[in-house]
Amino acid sequence: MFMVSVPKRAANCPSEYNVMSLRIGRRVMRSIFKLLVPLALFFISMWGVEANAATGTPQVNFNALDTLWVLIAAALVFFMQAGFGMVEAGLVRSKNAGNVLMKNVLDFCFASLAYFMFGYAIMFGGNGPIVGTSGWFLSGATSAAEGIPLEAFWLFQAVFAGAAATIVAGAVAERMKFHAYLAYSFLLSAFIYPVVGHWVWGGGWLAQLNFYDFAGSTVVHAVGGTSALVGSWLLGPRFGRFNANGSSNPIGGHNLPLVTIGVFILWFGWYGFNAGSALGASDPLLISRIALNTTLAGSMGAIIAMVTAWVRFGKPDLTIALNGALAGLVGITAPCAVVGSGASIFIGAVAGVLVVFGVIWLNKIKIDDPVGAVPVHCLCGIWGTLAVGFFGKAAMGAPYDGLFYGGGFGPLGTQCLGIIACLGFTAISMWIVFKMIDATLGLRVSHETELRGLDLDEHGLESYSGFQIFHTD
Amino acid sequence: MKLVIAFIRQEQLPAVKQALFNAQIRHFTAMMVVGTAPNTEQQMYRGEAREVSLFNRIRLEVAAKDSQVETVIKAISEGSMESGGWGRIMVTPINEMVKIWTGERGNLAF
Repeated sequence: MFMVSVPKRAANCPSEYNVMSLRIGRRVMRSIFKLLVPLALFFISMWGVEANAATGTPQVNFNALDTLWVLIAAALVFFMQAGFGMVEAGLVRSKNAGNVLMKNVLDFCFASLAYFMFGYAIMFGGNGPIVGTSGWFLSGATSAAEGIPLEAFWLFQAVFAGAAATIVAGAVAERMKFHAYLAYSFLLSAFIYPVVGHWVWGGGWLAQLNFYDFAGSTVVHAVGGTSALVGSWLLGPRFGRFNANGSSNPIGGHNLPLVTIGVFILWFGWYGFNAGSALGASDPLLISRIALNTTLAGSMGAIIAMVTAWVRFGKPDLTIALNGALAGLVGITAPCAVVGSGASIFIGAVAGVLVVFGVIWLNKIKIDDPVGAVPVHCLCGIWGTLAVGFFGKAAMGAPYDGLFYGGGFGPLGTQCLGIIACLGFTAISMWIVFKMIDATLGLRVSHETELRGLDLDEHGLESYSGFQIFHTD
Repeated sequence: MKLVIAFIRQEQLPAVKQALFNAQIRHFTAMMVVGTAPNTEQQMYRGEAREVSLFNRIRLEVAAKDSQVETVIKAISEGSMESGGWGRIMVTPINEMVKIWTGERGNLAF
């Protein structure tokens, strides 16, 4: 059925443009697959054997409980991929839902491969100040967490890389080419995310300066959010999003129930994201505190975002409240382990305000972000990282006391420096990546494809084939 | 034979349908259509005003014998009045009607 629908549409189209581009695209893809896939598979199979041999060397004192917790948390974080998928699918138009879901599935697959091949080595391959240099293809790699096997630790880190990559899908939705997106997701998780990760978590220069980001407000969310900002800025807004006279023309999401279940899934996964980042269950007090803080900040983010939207726009907007919940969760990600519950409520509240003004501000500067990925992940990621400098408590495990607990401005300065370095690096390297992709594969789909929808032209399918609801009662 | 065409709002359809059923009119078609209105409407989406100029409407078509036309008009009006009384009813002649199964024509085709 799908096979039939595509040529029919193409034939209706007055220009031959789409048919031609489809044909050229197919030829390029075919030659890429013919050359690269067997080559890559060959190398991977060789390296995989060595990797197994390397990890098979006896290590001592694994902690079963810690390992179990890390694996469960990894599965929870993996499930967040589904949450991102639902949020993004619901907030785009129905003609692009399948495309954005496809991107969500495939960017995780590419991220896990990339993170296996290059990412882990760059992130955890030794204590070099800038990048790690050992453990390519996990060959000779070691776990950076005490008592946890490399495999479990790798999985936990790989799902984080996937989360960073998939944040971008929403911001560039409805207009970015599918294969360009695949190339981007591989490059981000192979080279860019791991470099920042190494600086902060892999013993790099920021770690040595005592920059503190517990579960990844900067490393995961702000990196993903910044990439999203660069991507949507380079792509330009969707057709029809802003009028010629400069006024804006909002394009509604097609399925808010999907968005809502997506946010619930993300929140659910966040308990793995934050509490799992303790890398063990041996400190029950710590993981319990993290879970509590995560809940409070998420709730407060949603409440305050709803109130802010209610006051500013006149009505409580569902998608803004959902963005607010995510904003609170992103905000608490960095400080969740080292702040009290009062501070968590405050952090969530500020994130809730920030996200609403972030959405307004993005609209003002005419950057089109259909799902609010930039306000949620970039802005609130920055806020969460700064919050450690304000509310961090050395007694709870932070490397210093925050400003409000007598630590002075030093910690805040370190946090600022870290944010500027990480986001500066991400922005510049992502700009180069997107420009490179634009020059080779092309970033944006054709105007006709954008109008017809990416589902039909890029994938030859309809997300809601034969679907119509008509209620009379 | 007449074709009665009515444009009503979505929220009026249940009442109009019931009124037609009560009047023993059980053969009609409802279509989801969009149409303009004298004024546009402002909606808010994620903090931005959205100008809406096309609204969801229902287009109802009832084929009626000449003797039934007034009943149909009355039923549609009654149903519509139950929620706001918005809408228009148009009546236009039908030249011919054929019941495909039997080949009967005209009033026999009902």
